[in-house]
Amino acid sequence: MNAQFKRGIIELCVLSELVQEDMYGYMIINNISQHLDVNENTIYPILRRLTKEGYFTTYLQESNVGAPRKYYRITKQGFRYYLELRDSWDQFIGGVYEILNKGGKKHEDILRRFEKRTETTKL
Amino acid sequence: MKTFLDDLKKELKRLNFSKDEIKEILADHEEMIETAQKEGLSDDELTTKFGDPAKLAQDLKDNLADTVTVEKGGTIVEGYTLWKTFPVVDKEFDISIALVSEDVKYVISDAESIEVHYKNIDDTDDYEVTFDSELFSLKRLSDKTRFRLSRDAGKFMVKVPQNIKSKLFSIKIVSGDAKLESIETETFDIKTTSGDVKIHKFTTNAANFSTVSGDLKVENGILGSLKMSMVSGDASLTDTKIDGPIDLNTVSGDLKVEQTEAKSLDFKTVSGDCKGKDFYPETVKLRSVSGDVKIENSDKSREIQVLLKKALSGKVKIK
Repeated sequence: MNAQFKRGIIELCVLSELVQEDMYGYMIINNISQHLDVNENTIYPILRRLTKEGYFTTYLQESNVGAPRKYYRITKQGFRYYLELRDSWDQFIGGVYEILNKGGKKHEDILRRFEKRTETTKL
Repeated sequence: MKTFLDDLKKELKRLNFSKDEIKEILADHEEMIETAQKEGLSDDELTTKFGDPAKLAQDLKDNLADTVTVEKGGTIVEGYTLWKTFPVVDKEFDISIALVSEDVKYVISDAESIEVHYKNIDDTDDYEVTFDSELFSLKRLSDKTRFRLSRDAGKFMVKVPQNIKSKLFSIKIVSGDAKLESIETETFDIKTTSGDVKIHKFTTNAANFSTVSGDLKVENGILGSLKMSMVSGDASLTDTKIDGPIDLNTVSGDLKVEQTEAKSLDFKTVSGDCKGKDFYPETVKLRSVSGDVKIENSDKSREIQVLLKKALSGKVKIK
């Protein structure tokens, strides 16, 4: 997948995680990588950049195991940015599905249609 | 995982990260690795989860590219970020700008260097800007349209020193708008599809302007000759002096001319009109289907000669 494209989507996912609650770095990575095939070296740079851009703030909090952890908290500005991205994502993905579904929703349907069409063109 | 951190440190140093940044990034990773280990991840799992330190360092660098330039003394002007600066010694060089959907502003500054600023650009790697004392060039490298998460149009601002002279000034854009000022060039080429172009104050021997649906606005020009072609976009000429001919082709786009002098006007049109006010071409030729030429001038002593009128229903009216 195009790296820039992927980066944009991961950015939205990171924002979305932090909209729910404050989290420490590894937790964000872990949550996202449960659903998507991405690793730390994709997520961490995004986390760092969004922090620099003022979308997140960080604070340290003691943990019951080992050293204190750095928690990320979304700012108001970050929340607005999230809504904006979310809107354009919904719009985009909605459009993509409208296009895809024109060809049929299930593989069998698509295949059946395809076979029917190629049969008639053969003659 | 000790080697991961060591390697990461090496890579960050190689890419010129500051000491503080390296310290922070390493601390973050130490913390994350420690957490992962506590959750029972094996070294192998850790390696897949954390990936290649060289790639991580590069990603960090790429991700920060826009902010890094700012930290290095770059300034932000009206939300623009300074991208590149080129010192200018000899003020004679050509200029070429080729973009797609980005807006571009070309302005004069007091500085003795060229500055390229950008705004809302996802990835500057998609563009190339070069200057080699003979040519300044700004262009989009790939035509790939990518999914954009932000909706604002990308913008460039090119700031140049005063009194730049060029043999060729060429600008090509598809849907972005362009605003240009104070240009001195032998040949001036503008090509736009749907983007609007505004030019203020310029001197040129030969101007070739072409647009499909974008509008062209020309002000304060001194030209040797003007060739203009439009499909549905409109054009306007104000306060302009053309020593030679105006050669104009349009389908449905209109031409509006004010306070302008020219040797001649050769107007070829389907339905587009030419409307002039204080427009003084010495001669007029019209080839038209339904498009008209209407000129209203305050100085009645200056005569405009109609050399040719070939039209189905188009008229020439001169008052």
